[in-house]
Amino acid sequence: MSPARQLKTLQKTDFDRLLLWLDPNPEHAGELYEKIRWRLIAILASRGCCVPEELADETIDRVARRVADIEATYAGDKSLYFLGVMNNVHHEYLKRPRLSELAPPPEDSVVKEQTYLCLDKCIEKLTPHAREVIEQYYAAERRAKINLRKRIATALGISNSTLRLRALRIRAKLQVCIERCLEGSQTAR
Amino acid sequence: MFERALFCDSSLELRTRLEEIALADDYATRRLRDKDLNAFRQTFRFTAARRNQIEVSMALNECFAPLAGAHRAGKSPTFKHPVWSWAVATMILIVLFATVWLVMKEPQIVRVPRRFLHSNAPVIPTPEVAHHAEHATEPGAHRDEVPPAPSHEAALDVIVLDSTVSAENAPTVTLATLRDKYHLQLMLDGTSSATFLAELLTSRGDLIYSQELTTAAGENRVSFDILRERLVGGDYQVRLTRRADGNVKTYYLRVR
Repeated sequence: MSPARQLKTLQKTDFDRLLLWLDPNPEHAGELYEKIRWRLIAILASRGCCVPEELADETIDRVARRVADIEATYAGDKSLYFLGVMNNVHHEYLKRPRLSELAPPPEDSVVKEQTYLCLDKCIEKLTPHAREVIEQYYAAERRAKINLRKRIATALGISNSTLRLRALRIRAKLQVCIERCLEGSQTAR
Repeated sequence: MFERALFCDSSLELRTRLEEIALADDYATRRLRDKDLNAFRQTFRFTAARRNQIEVSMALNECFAPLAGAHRAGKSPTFKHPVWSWAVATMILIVLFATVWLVMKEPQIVRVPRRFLHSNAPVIPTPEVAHHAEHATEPGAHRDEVPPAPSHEAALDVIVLDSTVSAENAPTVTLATLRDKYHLQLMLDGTSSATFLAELLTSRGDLIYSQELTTAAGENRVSFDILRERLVGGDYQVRLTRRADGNVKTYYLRVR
């Protein structure tokens, strides 16, 4: 294996060491890992990077390979270490010659149909109250939607912003459920 | 500053996640302004998770937007689901094939093509069935001011023929089983009163039917009826001879 290839490939032991460094509890470590990855992607995307997921993974790989060297001496918020490495990775990315601007991949009709099926399944899993909130929140269009949301908020005895937050939290749960459902259907295919 | 805060502040991260979803919702419902829309297209859609958020937002809006104002007790069918599109498309195809099959099986459904009929052909009103009391003079009986139609008009087609039309371009009549008679109208050059002999002949010259016809002054056509049973598929001609001077005009007709 060439040195370059060796550098690119993350060893399982490195990854396990990274999780252990983040948190001795594997479950907590997994959650923390997901959070850090999401933050890296969000920041890279906000910087206009076309391949935020790729750079985030590269950042995590680099940190994983360095954990053995720093774990004994590193002090402070571990997630901030990722931010520093990400800045380096991003700078290197900006120096690379641009091949061409990547366009987002086209819509996949199979994925779209699967999303509808997963949405139906995940809505069934919600509590009746949550289902009612989400159905009413997404009912109506444009101006009618705003008026309808005001009516729902009044009926529930809460403010518009609270209704929005509540609906978005349910929507976030739906999103997680649908993503898992889609992953399951992709592995089944 | 924001980037560092995003790593340190869990509540900021949560709010950012929710705003991402709200942004995807706004995009799906086309509520973004042009400037925001451009920024969204340039930066937002480059991660798989965000593209999926947009898909879910679109699916949610398509599923629930038609329910405006409707408070549902249970789950309603989502008619914008792709499965419904397939169902509707299949139904349209079935109806289309059934129509084609019906026309092929029952060709008499197709009436005389309008383009072969003369534009100033008289319009025969659709016969109406009147439900009268047995004794129309009885008090309280319903009476409509509908003039009594001749008995044969309920099963009559009008065919207008012009002597300037050649045999190749002759109008085609498709025999319909429901017709008793066909009403042939022969267009004339002048409008003076005259007497004619009309003869319906086959293409071989066999005489099918003949009748003497008289026109009143001001009429530009003569007409006669021919029983359906006298006609079979083939080419026909009507020879119209003016009695006064022996002038002959020929009208062509094709029967299917």
